[in-house]
Amino acid sequence: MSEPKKVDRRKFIYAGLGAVALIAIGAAAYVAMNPPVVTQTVTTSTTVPTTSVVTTTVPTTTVVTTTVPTTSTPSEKVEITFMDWTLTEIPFKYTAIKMFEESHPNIKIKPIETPYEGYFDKLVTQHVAGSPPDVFALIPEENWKLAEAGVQYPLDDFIRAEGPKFKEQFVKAAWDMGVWKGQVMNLPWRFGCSCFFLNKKVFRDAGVAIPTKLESWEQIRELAIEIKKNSPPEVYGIGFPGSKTDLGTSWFWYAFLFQNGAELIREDGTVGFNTPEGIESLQFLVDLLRKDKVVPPEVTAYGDNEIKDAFGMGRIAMWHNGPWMIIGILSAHPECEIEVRLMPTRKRDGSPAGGTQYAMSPMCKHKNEAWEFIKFMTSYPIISVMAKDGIYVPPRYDVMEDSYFHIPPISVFIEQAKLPGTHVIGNYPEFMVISDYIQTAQQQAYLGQKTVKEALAWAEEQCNKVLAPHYKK
Amino acid sequence: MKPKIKGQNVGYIFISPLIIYLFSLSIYPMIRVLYMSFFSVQPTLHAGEIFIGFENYIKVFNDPLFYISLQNTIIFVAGSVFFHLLLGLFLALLINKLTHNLFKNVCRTIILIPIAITPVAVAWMWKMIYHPAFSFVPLIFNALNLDITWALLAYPETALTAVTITNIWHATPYYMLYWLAALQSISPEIYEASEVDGANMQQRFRYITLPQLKIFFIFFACWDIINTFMYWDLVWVMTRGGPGYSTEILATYIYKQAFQALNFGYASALGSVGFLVMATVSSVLIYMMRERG
Amino acid sequence: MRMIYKVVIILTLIFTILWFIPIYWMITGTLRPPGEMWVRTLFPSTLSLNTYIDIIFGRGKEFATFYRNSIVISIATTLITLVLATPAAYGFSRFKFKGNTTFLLLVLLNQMFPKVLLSIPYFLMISELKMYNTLFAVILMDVVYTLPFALFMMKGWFDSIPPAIDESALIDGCSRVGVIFRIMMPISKTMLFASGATCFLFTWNEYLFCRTFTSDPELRTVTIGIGEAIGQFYIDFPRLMASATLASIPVIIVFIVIQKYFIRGILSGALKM
Repeated sequence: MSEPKKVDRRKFIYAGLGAVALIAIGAAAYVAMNPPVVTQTVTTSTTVPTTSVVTTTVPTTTVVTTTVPTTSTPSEKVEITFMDWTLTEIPFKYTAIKMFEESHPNIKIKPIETPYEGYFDKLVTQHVAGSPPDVFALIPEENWKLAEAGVQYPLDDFIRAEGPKFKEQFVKAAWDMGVWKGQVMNLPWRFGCSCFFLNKKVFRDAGVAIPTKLESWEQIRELAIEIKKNSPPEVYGIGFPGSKTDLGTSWFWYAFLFQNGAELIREDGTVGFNTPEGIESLQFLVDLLRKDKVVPPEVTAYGDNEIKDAFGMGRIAMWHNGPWMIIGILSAHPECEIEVRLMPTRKRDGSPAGGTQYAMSPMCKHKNEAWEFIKFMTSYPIISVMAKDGIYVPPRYDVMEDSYFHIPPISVFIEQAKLPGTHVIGNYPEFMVISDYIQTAQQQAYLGQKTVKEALAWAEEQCNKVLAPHYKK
Repeated sequence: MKPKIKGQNVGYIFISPLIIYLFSLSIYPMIRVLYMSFFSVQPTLHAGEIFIGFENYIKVFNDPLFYISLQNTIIFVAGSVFFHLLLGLFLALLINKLTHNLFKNVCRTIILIPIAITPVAVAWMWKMIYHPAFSFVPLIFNALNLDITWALLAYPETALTAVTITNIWHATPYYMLYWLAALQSISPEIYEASEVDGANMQQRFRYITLPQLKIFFIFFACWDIINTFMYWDLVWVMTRGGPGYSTEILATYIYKQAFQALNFGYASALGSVGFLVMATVSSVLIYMMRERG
Repeated sequence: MRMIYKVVIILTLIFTILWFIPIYWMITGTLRPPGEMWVRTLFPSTLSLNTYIDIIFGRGKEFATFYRNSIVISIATTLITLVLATPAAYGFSRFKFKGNTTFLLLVLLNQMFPKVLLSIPYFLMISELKMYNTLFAVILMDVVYTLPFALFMMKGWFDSIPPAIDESALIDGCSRVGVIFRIMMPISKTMLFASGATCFLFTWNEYLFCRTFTSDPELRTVTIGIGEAIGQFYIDFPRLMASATLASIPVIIVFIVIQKYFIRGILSGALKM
């Protein structure tokens, strides 16, 4: 008798529960699907970090006016999605986007901000799911992998349409960052190679004169020993990273590898670091660490970020890295006095180089418009502002002509970039995988678990196994 | 009252919203991962999925790095779970015992703060705590005239322990919270009755508290094992699996295979094997739970 | 008895301090003047709110957006989770139907796969459902990960409540659903808050889904805001720590507020009826 009533009550209350759940979900959905209108507050002047750099003057705001011819009769509005992790670091990019939209009224750019942490995972995920961004930024270390996976669309046709002079505007090494199997997959907008940073204060306190030029590896070693001798115990002559947390560990070594005449990966796809020259170059670092003890001993605890802080705090006298680190050091340690020097030479000059590029997705529905955008963002006016603000080597020769780039420290980097021994590292197949092996080998050598010879032999074996399928004829 | 079969099946109605929600959203992805493990997914992700059957699995079982990462994972999980549960219980008991309300609330809130901090920030913070140049610990050692090198993440011997300690610091407050809630489920009347009967604190704990907590214990262990087994964020940020392969856990190895080598087939196979391990462990634990419930 | 209590107090103090030291270090790091992040003194030489000012005035509007999105996602996830999990927990606890234990195990299946691997199929699903770039997608998937925990917590709790209470209510004419609402919920406050707080916390700190399922700058959450301090070449450490501190403040306030729901008295009061 009470059974039917119970069932009815139960059903009713269950419906009520369901309604509550639906309302909760619906409310959340309403809020979520109606995000407030995106209004970008675009600043028309760039904000440059106020640095008290002794050896260089950073120009303040640079407002650029371009006379880009407007396209012909605007057709329907086309939307291009643009993903870049530097949108927050470089507010000028929003200005650039606005400038582009003004000169191309039928194109609307939709910027997607994603932090660098996990950027490429997101890119790959979006590509696999079929909705990648139309234009996106990438680094040469990811170039091969993304090109082979079909995430990038070759730009050769567009470049050919621009005429033969187009390619010549770009610095060759920078251009090569985007080459994959003979095809050009992206255009560079940021470029830089490695030069030595010297901490003036540490040199001064140790009573060691800063050399005008770094002649040889021996000189570096002697400077480091001299500084260590005359400095408090926590200060070291030279510092380099040894942890796996970024590519800095191998970046540091590659400079010496190239200077000794060895190669990272040969034309035939075998690795070139397991040669006497390669072994010697790594041995140099291992000796600095273990024999001369002029390097902070817990090398495997340091990544590039920690070395940058140690350098800025005056714990290390010498380091080498790219020009992008200058702002990194100065923003965390405004009183640091940096002196930049060209790389030493041994058998020849050598310096690792890298940068950042823009590419287009094959799933982009408006490839011509995307190409216009990429072309614009790597054009003279945009690059000249960004290279000055960010302090890096512009990938274009015409921007390099600017007098700003004739002042140290950036002039040193540019000089280094023009040398033949400056290689872009990273544009190789499975680069992250072989980097893992290389860094493991380095760590084993640094920690004394294996000799340099053994470690590199092991790394060579692993890397060649991974590389072989990519170079099969 | 005789339990009618029809009456028991009413349970299905109660559990259906959750089951429907959960399964509709999670079945397809899980099956897809399992499915991909039977393919060799070529770098060109869309084209070139070649069916290779169990080849990926054979590769897994022949892969020395798989065993290394599995071993590291087991150490990481065992160390974390052990301290999470026991330390968490210990803290919960301590806090429960306190009667000064202000002190109790302040301590409880302070201990709970670590779980409010996002894992990435915790990882970087502890990376610096373990760092010889930036940490306050060497200063303490110097003050005490101890000549110990403090660079726990630099050496393969200590790196895994260091990461485990960070995980313990970060997640034990969660378990203190859970235990506090679980302890509330024990009726205080039984305590009062036993006090009247003259039982002291140890006896009360052993014969009353412990049996009632057993179910929660098993559940928390199960839950912690499952969550820590594939916990990637902390280790990735702190060491990326280094130095060498001393902190390479299964999660970081899978990540490297999936997103650095773009080897989704192999990564899925690794993930499936890990899943099998965990499924076995948790089935055992859940059946133990049923017997006591 | 007094002696034991003293020991309890001392031990509590020791552990509280141990747990607090890294936090103290983190917070004082953010309060130092620029350039002195790593100066290792107990107190900053000068208290400088520079880092916070940079964030609050430099990117204040963004941070407000981050907070708003995180709060919406976390609250929605918690509510949906509790609404789905509580009746299910009751069902699992009180009814011995076929497959009771099997379903419990199946619920845990999803947690056993690495999230990074599953993120691609999830993304595919979300795209198919045309829900890409909404907070709703994040909420939807976050619930999948908080449900099992809430379910097991509530089930364990219901298991510890003697069925006699249900029986007496049923005999009095209450329906099953009524038992949930009128009898179980009022005494489950502690457990509900423990489960709810965990769900809230878990979604608050969640990074993968927030990053993968949204692309609008307006939909970023607090964890993404923190992640932005990590650059390509180096990390702005003070900003990282300061963002993390700012992100955890609302959560800590929530903790302080819900402290009072952890009073023991609620249970004994209910049982004595």
